[in-house]
Amino acid sequence: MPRNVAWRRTYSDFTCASQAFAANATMYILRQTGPTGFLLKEEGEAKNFKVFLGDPHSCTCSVFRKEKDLCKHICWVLLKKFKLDRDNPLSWQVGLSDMELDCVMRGPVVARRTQQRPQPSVPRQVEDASGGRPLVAQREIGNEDVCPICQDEFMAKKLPVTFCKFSCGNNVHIKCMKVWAEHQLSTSQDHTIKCPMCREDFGPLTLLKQEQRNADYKSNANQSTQSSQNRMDRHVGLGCSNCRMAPIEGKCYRCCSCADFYLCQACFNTPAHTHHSFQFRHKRNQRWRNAQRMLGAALPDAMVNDLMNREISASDYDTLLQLDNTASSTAPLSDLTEEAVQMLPVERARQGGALCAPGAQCRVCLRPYTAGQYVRKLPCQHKFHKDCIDAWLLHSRPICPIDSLPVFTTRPSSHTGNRLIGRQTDASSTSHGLNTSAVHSGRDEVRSLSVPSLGISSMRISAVENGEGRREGDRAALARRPPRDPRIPHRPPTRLELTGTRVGAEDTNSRWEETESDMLVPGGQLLQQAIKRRSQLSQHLTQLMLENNIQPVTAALEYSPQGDQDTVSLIPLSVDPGLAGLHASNPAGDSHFQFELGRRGSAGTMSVHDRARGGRLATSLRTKAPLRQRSGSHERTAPRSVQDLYLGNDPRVNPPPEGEVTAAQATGRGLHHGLLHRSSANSRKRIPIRGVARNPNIVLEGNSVLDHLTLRDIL
Amino acid sequence: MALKRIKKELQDLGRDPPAHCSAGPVGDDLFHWQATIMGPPESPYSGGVFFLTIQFPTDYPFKPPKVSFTTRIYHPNINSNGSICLDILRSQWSPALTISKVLLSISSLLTDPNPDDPLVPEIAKVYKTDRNKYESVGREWTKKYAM
Repeated sequence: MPRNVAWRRTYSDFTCASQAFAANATMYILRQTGPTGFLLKEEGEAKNFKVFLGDPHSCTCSVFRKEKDLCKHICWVLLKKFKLDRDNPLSWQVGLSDMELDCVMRGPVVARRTQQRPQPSVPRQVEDASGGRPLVAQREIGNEDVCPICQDEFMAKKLPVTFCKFSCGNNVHIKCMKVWAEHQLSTSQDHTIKCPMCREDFGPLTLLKQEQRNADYKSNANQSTQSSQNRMDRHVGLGCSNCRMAPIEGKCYRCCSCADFYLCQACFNTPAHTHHSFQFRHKRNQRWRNAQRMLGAALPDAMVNDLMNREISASDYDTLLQLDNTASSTAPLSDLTEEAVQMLPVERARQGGALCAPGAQCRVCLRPYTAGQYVRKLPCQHKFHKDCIDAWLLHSRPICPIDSLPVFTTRPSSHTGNRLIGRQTDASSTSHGLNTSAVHSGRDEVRSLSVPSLGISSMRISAVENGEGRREGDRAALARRPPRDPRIPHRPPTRLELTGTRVGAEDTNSRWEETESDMLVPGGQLLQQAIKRRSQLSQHLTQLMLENNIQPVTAALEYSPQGDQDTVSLIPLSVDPGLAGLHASNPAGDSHFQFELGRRGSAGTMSVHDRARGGRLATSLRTKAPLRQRSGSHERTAPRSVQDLYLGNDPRVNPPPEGEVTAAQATGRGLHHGLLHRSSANSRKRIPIRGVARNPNIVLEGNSVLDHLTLRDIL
Repeated sequence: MALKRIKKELQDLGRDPPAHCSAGPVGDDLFHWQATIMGPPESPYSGGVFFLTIQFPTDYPFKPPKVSFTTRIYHPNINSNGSICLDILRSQWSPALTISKVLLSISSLLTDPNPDDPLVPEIAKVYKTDRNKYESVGREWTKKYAM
């Protein structure tokens, strides 16, 4: 074949330099003007260049015009776009004949692709539906690929996808395709479903339905709960768009404006999605009725009105974000340890097994499982490719990507867990005479699970007055707290007494700012009161310490690894000279306190438990009278309704490097504090303190707890 | 779904507008849009700006949007009411099509009329037999109505 330009046997220095430039350059293909024509933009360059491969190649850049040799743009197309090797003589020719171009365009790229993607095993159902037609491989889903029907990015929503198996291989959401298929069947005469992209036959609707079932497939472990599936107040197929609980149980709230936006009762009572009105129903067979939102918008009405009636500028961005406060923004970042993830069960996909059924797919990468791949099952029974879910859990969030349930790992064996409960129960009942009925409630089974570095993620203070549907932030617990007995009148705690030495420590300033903006959310008011009180107390205490010449003691909760000391309570700390004695007599000899539960300790302290049982004022502080009086003056301003108060210590306080604590504590009337925590070097420690309405006095004493009260903990 | 998808398309149009076309809602009703197409350079319509209305059905994208010209145009596939004879707006509609793609298709229909499936047979006949007359009348109408 005649060539317009001569074949080069070796490459020139200029070409070599161009290739080196091209290898390091970042360029984008703005447009492909033909099979061999490209409009390129180099990063940092204002001008775009048109490159045509041919005989000879051409480029609109000045270098090519001057030198008439390969510029870096041509080299970039050859090396990067068409993946030519630099040793390949085709990469340094000034022009390429049609046959050579054909070879360049089809050669290595295609070969590599087929090599990368082995043909997935074809499920039998697909074979049946194909009727002998050749099958097409599924197209790769890129980050910017959208569903042709809803135009949403696949990777943003991670809804299950299917693809045109017989013609183009393009992906589409199963849900969207089902609507389109049903629409086509209802309107067209010939009962074929056409692919929205290539208009070829997409396959029967039955296959699509089967794929949807397989994609939602969790595990047959749930089949025993068939009866519960039929419960009318389980809204099968509807998941909460905020907390991702699926299916929604109890009342289900539907946004009147958005398609497919549902909330559960708990999320409905949070400032999520407040800009639209909602309808609700309790059972699936009921009509949707209008729902009144108890809570106002996440922003005060005045601010919303203001935003609605003026031009919105860039500085309003944060305010607008608050309009759409979702739980996802408050969910913790992952700090699961690798070994914790490794403890989750793994299985291997088998040819013909449920995992290889059509439509079954990993909801992280949206790819089907192929035989031989390892699949990890989370406690919520959702399954994913092992590699996909491990990366997610370790690097993103410690929650299931589908329903956002926290991923906790069971103890190495359930036996250990049971033993642990038993021990806890014994310890609490024998040594402290606790009411153990609470320990046996469903919630306490959770104590047998260790939650690696997770803590209890979001305890909320809810100001809703109706006494039900209390926000259960305790997702780690899985078990929902049984509804409050209606016979017991709702009695909000009337006193909140806070004492401690280092209240109002030096780092409070940043917290104050934080709370300013968070006054908008429920609980903010409480927080502000707590902070105000803290600062007042801090002044009193400083004064007191000056008077009594007491040095402030830096205290941290210590977790005692010994079996018989696995309970923790909070006792008055260093304001008490008697306690300072306890501190000194600490056998460990370090600066940590050991906390005692539920009895008068040697230092003469009184615990939460005793107070609750006695139902009378705490007299735990043996300090001078002035403090009592002073703190008493703040008691009168206690908040009206404190349902759940969740305090955590500061993550900056270094936890003890080893050891595990099981803190189970229940008062005679159901006040219990629970935390089971496996520590790791960088883990975050939290101690939940919960005041239940039946205990009218919540007395929080101790500096480190109060000191590290954060907004995040309250929410 | 319809509203969400329409919003999405509006967003995409703002981010990546198609060549020679524009579209956007009229007032607050997102289901009612107005669009413009600039006459393609290699056609008798060059230099003209043609307005169209777009009415989205409630089950969009599963049903095609109703698109019609509000500017008069001399074209074998577009009648005096502004109705467009284009298969993708009727039988060949696919939910994968977007308004941006529809406008591009209409733009290419302006460049290459389809006289074999005419909506206005007289114009189709002129187009087939006397191309010069078609072009001069087309230019005249463009000057009269679209400039």
